[in-house]
Amino acid sequence: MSRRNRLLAAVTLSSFALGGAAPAAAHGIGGRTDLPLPAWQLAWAAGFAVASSFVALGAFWATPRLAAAAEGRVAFDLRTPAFRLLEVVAKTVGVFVFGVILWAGWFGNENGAANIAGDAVLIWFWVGLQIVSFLFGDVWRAFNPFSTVADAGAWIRSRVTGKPMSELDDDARLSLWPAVAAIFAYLWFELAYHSTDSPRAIVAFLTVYSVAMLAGASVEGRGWVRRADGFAVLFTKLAAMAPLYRDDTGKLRYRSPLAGLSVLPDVPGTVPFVLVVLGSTTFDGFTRSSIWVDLAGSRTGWDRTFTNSIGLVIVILIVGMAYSVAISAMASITNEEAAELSRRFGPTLVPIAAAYAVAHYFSLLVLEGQRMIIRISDPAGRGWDLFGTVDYAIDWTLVSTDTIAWVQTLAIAVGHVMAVAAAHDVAISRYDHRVAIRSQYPMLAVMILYTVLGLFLLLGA
Amino acid sequence: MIRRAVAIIVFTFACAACGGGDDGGSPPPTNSAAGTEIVIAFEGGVPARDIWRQDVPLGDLVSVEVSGDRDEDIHIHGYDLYITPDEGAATLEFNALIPGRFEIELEQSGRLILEITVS
Repeated sequence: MSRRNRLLAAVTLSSFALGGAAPAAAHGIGGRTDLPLPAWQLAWAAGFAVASSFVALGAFWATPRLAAAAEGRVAFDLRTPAFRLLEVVAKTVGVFVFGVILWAGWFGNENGAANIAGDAVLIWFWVGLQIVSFLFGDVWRAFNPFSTVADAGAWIRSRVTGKPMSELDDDARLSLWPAVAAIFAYLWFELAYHSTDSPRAIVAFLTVYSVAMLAGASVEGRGWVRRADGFAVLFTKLAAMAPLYRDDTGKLRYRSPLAGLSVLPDVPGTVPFVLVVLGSTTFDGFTRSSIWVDLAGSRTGWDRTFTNSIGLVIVILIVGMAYSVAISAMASITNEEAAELSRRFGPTLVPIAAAYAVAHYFSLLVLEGQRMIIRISDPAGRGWDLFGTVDYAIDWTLVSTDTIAWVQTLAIAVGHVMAVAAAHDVAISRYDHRVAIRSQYPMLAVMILYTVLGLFLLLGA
Repeated sequence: MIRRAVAIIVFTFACAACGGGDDGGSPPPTNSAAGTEIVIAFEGGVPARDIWRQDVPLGDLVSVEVSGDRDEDIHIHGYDLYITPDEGAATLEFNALIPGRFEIELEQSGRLILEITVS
């Protein structure tokens, strides 16, 4: 008995004493993963994806709709003094929160579970904003501290030099390749680096990222942030699915979901960008399979980082190759150039990326995301209790495992239908109906592949 | 057309839901009297066994038995329990009340020992 008591004391003490250690987690953050999807549910969803794709060929609209719906209707004018003020407040909040994260990460508790940096960046920023973006539009644009600081810098420079501020959009130089590099850097950090949940590592990444944004902006002009900020680029792409957007004149408009995908600017690098994001989420799912656990689970430190890096690159390449094979097949049906087709159909993959994000990270957001309630009272893990929430205990049963499984299955299935619908719309806007349908077979094949792959990974086998 | 697509989705999943209910997609929590025993042995500071997966019925009493020398804490994720090395051979018991898949790993190096699937 006394032995048991001693052990319990040791267990309790060690949880407090861990403050000094920097624990490492296998998948980005946290150690809970979802239960495997029941096989019958998986089979239904996969069957549904295949069936709906072929139904879609015949049943979906025969004349293009999305581009016509992209303009939408004015909900209200945002150019009122009240919204101007709100804009300033949002920018201030963005810079302030970013500052708190940098401060907590650099100077706060080194234990990932006692520091706001990991939860704020890996869960609420990365996962939360992806979901907010495709549901409600480009919310991040209002808060983005990188563009706020870059704009402020440009304004000061124009005051000092007396020259006008540099243009935001320089179409001739517009390319998303810098953003591809930026988002890959983040994904590598999140999924491949072995010590992702160390607050110091997170802010080190954020600091490097910020320097790249701001140094680039000071050399290239503030348009650089638009081309290079991988986060903002991803949120903007996802927001194109949303029923709300802000037009160039500053009016808030509503439109049919997905319609924005048809008017996404055709900027070089867009397709690789989407494929890198899609491939990375696939890799994250794959790391939970027993195949990967057996291969890499016992590796630690840089050995693990190295193995993860190779896995990440290979999975991205496979996902990208599947797309490029489908595009080549389509090009041979329609006698067009593959590169041109690839750019046209690239945006139709965005709903699949959104679905993957929900399927893989929904439970992380609602379960481990709760830790934020504790952390806002004590961001740096210094024993503070600003809002009296520091004793909150995470409710691990907030959503049932059945609910999680249904959210995952539905997300994948709905994302699949949306992607098929978007691709269908692009096809009929380019070809007459018969060619449009034939051209879609390879596209359907690759989308079914992504969907079944996404489902298979949820099996966690 | 979008309405038709939505109808197809709803219909299919309505069917899926019925189908699932029959198969018993979600077994009710069972509370076996025996409990689940997990034995973790160390040899030369590393786990003696390859990584494995263990199923644990929801609500079960789990006893984790540790033997052999090691330098690091063992961390049971989600439940956030730790077993320190200075205990040497030790047994820790907890009730598996949180469903999900959890890693049990060496805390400092992040080396995975096993995964438990509580359902």
